[in-house]
Order: sequence, then structure tokens, then C-alpha cells
Amino acid sequence: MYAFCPLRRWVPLSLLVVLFSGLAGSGGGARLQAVSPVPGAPQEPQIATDPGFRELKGALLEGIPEFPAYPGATLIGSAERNRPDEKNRGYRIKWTTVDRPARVMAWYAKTLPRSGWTYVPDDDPEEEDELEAKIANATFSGYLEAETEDYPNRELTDIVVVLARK
Amino acid sequence: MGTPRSCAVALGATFLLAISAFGIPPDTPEFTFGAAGDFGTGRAFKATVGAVQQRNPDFFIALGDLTQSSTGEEAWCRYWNDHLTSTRLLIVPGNHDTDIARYVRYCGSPFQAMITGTYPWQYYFDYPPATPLGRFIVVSPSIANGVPVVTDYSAGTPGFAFVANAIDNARRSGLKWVIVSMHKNYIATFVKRNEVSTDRGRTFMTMLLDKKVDLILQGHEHGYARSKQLTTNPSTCPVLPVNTFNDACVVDGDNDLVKGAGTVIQIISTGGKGLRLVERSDSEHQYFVDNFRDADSETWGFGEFTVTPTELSFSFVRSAGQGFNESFRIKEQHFTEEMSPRHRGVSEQRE
Repeated sequence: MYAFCPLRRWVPLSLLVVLFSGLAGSGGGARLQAVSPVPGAPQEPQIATDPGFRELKGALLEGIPEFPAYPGATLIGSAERNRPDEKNRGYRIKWTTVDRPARVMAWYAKTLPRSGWTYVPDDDPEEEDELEAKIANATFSGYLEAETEDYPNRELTDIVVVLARK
Repeated sequence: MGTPRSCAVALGATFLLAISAFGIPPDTPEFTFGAAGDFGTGRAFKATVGAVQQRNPDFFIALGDLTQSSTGEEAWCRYWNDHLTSTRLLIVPGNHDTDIARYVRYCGSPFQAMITGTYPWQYYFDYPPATPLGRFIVVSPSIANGVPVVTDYSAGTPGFAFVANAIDNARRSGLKWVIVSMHKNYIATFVKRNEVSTDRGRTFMTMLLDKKVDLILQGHEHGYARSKQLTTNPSTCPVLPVNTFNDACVVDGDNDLVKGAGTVIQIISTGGKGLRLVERSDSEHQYFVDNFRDADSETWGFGEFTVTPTELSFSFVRSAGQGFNESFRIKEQHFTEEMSPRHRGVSEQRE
């Protein structure tokens, strides 16, 4: 009856806190962001990263280019898109926020060009729940998306950035 | 002057000639259908509707996340209705389709006389109506937008029983193909997690794989991915595991598959929304045929299926972008002792 366990939401949260504590202690070569609790974090990882690929929960991997973090968003994690012994294929990063996708994307539309990134939104102005944009800088191209997701106790917006090395 | 008797003889001879020449009776049923999900209302969506119009399949299954706009249902349906020639549009609810009843109102409810269940949330129909070859089952696991059916499909739920009975009944009725459509994903290779079969035993997906439905169609992930042919077996793959990879669940990974050997899970979310990049770092990526490249994330379109009594063939119809090609077929084949144990795994089906 795990589904009805009143503490189930706190199990992954506890793991996240323990993992973050370990990373913060070791440094891990990563640029750490402040990690706040994730209310209603999903029961399973958003992406089931193959153990052969580097991934950091709650932190940015070393090598990820400067990319603005949405104010107040919770960093869930980052991962490489290649194995350590392969050519660098880029990275993915994920945050969550309580703000709606339109607000998130409006902020990025304004902020990214100031940070050396191009921002080209999808040509669908009526969309509300799931917004995407192509992004690029001198080294990477990829996409940014903000999508509402039903988490166990409330709706949040996932912010996902996927960068492919040019 | 031909007598009635000579006329009958001539007709019979023509019939036999047709069978000997083509191997099938001249009136063998055959049909086509299309499928894609995650459309929006932008240029790529319109290109996809144009491609469907051009190919003119018998029906089209829209795999959810139709406009993701709270006010755009009427315009979205009107665009389809204005462009389809004779193709009937069927809807699968997506998590962003906040008022699916408005889609039903504006897009219509095709095949009403043929549908068992509650359209568009949980239903099935057999096609073609006169001489059915396939049963098409639509379900809404984990869709929460005011859905009037229970969308938890774990064992013991009404939805689980509805689907299990629909599959068993289809087999008993001699229907050749069983195809299950839903919006959300179980395994994926972009950014989504399992949202379809969330109980500990993964009972819903295990049931679908145990019963070897031929095809599971999904949207949700923005991109294209076709799983290898997968199956469960009691000894080495009792459940298709998520967040990891079990090679023992894979029957066949090429483009010529044997009917009845397992299930293909196909994500066709290329209807118009911006496409994601495939994550090879996802453990579940190994369940999929590795053919959708980063460069293909600018390729939209839909899946076109041709169904005959002995073969289900697929090809991807591009509507925008270029470069991505994909086709495969599932073909009926009589099992022989010489066939590989994996292909003969069909006989290991859990009872």
C-alpha cells in the first residue's frame, strides 16, 4: 500500500537532501545552486539516466556553459548527453517553479539575449501549458521548454534546457 | 449468348484466377489509418494536417495534447474539418487538453455506432466495420482533466478490466490485430518518465505485454521513437522494467517483425509542437530503435499504417523538415522448429 503511505512524498525528498549534503561537502567540481525542498517531487526520476552517463541531482555539472537560472526555481539536476569517454554531446538541465510557463518564457526571452544566447520561440502564440524555444550560443544549440506538470500534490512548471554541442 | 450456368462458371473461374494470381481473394479487406500527437496550432501542425489530407487514410488517431490552449478547441477542430477529405478524426485525451468535451463538440464523434465505452476517454471499435481486422482500444492513464472514468489502470480497476476484456474478446472473435492508444508514456527516450503504469507491479503494462497486443501508440514526448518488439516472459522478463534496461524483454530490433511475438511501443509526437532531442543517456533508450537523430528534431509528420489480414506495415509521412525516414512491418508467420527461441517466445505466454 505504498501509494497510500503518508510519508511517501518525503522519501525522495530525503534522498535529495542527503545527496545534496554529500555533494556540497565534496565540492564535486560542480557549480552548486541553492537547493530548496521540492514539494511533491515525482516518485521516479524524470529521466532514468543510464549509470554510464554523469548526472548530478540538485547541481550543475562542471562544463555546463553559463545559463541563467529562472529566479526562485528549484534545480532538480543536470546530466551529460554523452558517456565520459565519448565526444562531448552537450547537457540537459532541469528546474521546477511555481510560476506559469508564459511567465517563465517571457523572462527567458528577455534575459537570454543579454547573456549571449539567441532565443527563437515556437510559432504558436496561443499555447499556454507547454512553451518551447530554440536557443543557441557560439558553442551550443538546443531547446528550452516550460511545461506544466501534475505532481502528486500540486501543479508545477518544469523548465528543461537541452544543449547539443555544435 | 451466355446461359446463367455459363455465367456462374465464368465468375467462379475469375474468382479462382484472382486467388491464384494474387494469393488473396479480390475482396480482402485492407485499410489505412494515421496517428500522431502533440499538435499545437502553428505551421508544423498545419503542414501535418495537409499531409494527412494528401494521404487520406480511413481514419486518424490524434494522440492527445491537441492545442494546449484553453480557448483554441473550436479553431483547432475547424482546421481539421476544413481540410480532411474523408478521413475520420478520433481523439485521445492528453494531459494539456483541459476541456476535452469541447473537442468532442467541435471535432465530432466519429464511429459512434461502432464504439464500445466512453468516447473519447476509454473506448474501442473494430475496423473495417463489415469485416473487422483490428480492434482499436483507447485509454487515458493518468489523465486528470475532468475525465469521467477512473484513469488509474492498475489491476483491479475498472479500466484494467475494460482493456483486458476488450483484448481477450478481440482474440476470441478472431480479430487479427489489437492496437492500444494512449497519450502518456511508459518507457521513453526524451525527457518523460513512466506515467502509465505506476503501481509497484506495473500491472497494466505487464498485462498489455503478456497479452501481446501488437502495437501501443502514444504521444506526450515530443519526438518520434519506436521500441524494439518487446515481450514479457515468466523467467527472465516478468515485468518490463522502467528506469533501466533488460535485454531479456527484447524479441526483435529490426524492421521485419513477426506477428504475435511481442509488442511495439511507438511514440509519434510529431504533430506540430517543437521536438526534443533524443536522450541516449536515458537507460530506456536501449529499448528503442536508435534512428531519430538530433538533426531530425526539425522533422514533423504522422505515422501511416496499412493493415491487411497478414501484415501491418508502417511508414513515417513527413509534413515538414527533411531527412527522417522510418518504416517497419509486422507480418504473420507460421512458427517452425528452426525459428529462434526468441521468436518462439510467443508460446511462452503467461496464462
